[in-house]
Amino acid sequence: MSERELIAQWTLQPGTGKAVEVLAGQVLRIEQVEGGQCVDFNAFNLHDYKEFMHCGRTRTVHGFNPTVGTFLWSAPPRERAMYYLLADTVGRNDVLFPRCSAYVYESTYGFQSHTNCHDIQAEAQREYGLTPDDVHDSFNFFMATEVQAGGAVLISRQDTRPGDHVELLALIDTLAVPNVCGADVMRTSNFFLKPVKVQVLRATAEDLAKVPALPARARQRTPGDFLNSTIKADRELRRDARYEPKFLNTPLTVTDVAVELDDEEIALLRRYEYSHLYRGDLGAAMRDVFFSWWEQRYVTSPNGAPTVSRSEKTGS
Amino acid sequence: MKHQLLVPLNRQQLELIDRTILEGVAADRAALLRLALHEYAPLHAATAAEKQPVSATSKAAS
Repeated sequence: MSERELIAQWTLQPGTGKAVEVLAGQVLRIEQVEGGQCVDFNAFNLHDYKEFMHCGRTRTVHGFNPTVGTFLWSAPPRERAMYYLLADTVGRNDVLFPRCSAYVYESTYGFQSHTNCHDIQAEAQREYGLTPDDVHDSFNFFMATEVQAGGAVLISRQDTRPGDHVELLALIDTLAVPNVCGADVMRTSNFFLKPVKVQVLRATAEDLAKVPALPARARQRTPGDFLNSTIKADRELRRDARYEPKFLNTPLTVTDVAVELDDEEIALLRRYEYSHLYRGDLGAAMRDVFFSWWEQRYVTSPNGAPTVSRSEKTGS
Repeated sequence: MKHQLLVPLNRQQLELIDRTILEGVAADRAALLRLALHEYAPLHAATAAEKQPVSATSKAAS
């Protein structure tokens, strides 16, 4: 494998973060220095900060703990792959928990002032003119979390070592904002804050070849598609008296489709495992059967994930 | 005995149904719905517990 060219590097000290330009075709490497440190991460389209990395989209597609072979997505309506996760020596990342905040440390621990990921992100982003309101939910690298039976969520201690790292290949020009998680009174970083190393490198041809092809969809919209593409620049919200709703596909008319069933088919429908949800409405149960059948027969990737192929390079 | 069932579907759902029919899977909407019933429902029959309706109380608490 050919060598990557080092473009820039930093060591982020506890309590700090750094806004870093990572252009398409460059790799952002985040590396443990001492081990045991969570790194919170936000990202923006470098040319349009209103497009940003979205944990909700990412966890829907890749689950609660994305690792190698997954993408970091931007929010709807853009929904573009911003990065490809090229390498991950640990495989414990989190997109479930939000960034920690000053409120958490005051309410739970009584701190009037405490390092927290929201404020660290805000301060790092300020270098590019962004405000504390522009911080979004973070992708939490090296954060060990789990969902327990019953739905409770849990942060575990982590077991990362010096040199453990993740590598993100940028698919568009981005502003990446990694920060050393400020949680020193939680298990997140094993109750102590440590520095982390951040590098930007030029991707090799081998790196680029690892990215699965992603189909471009017409509904991945840009501001040119918006009914209002002007960024609102004042804080007060005011009603637009000229506003007329233009919701897609509305009114969503409903048609009753008649289906003739015999006794045996009716009995089959009554026995269907979800029929009870519809309180005797067999038409609704039949609709459930149909879409469940359709999903099983035609949907090849879960939860709206795009069907990707490793046979060709991405066109992003 | 034959029973006529009415299945309420919005126009987006009908679009998907009609696209599926165009693939030649079934002759019409009713036939497609019956095909789904025969292929899917027998594999997903309720257990005794699942037949119990969800109570209003438990739903509100979830």
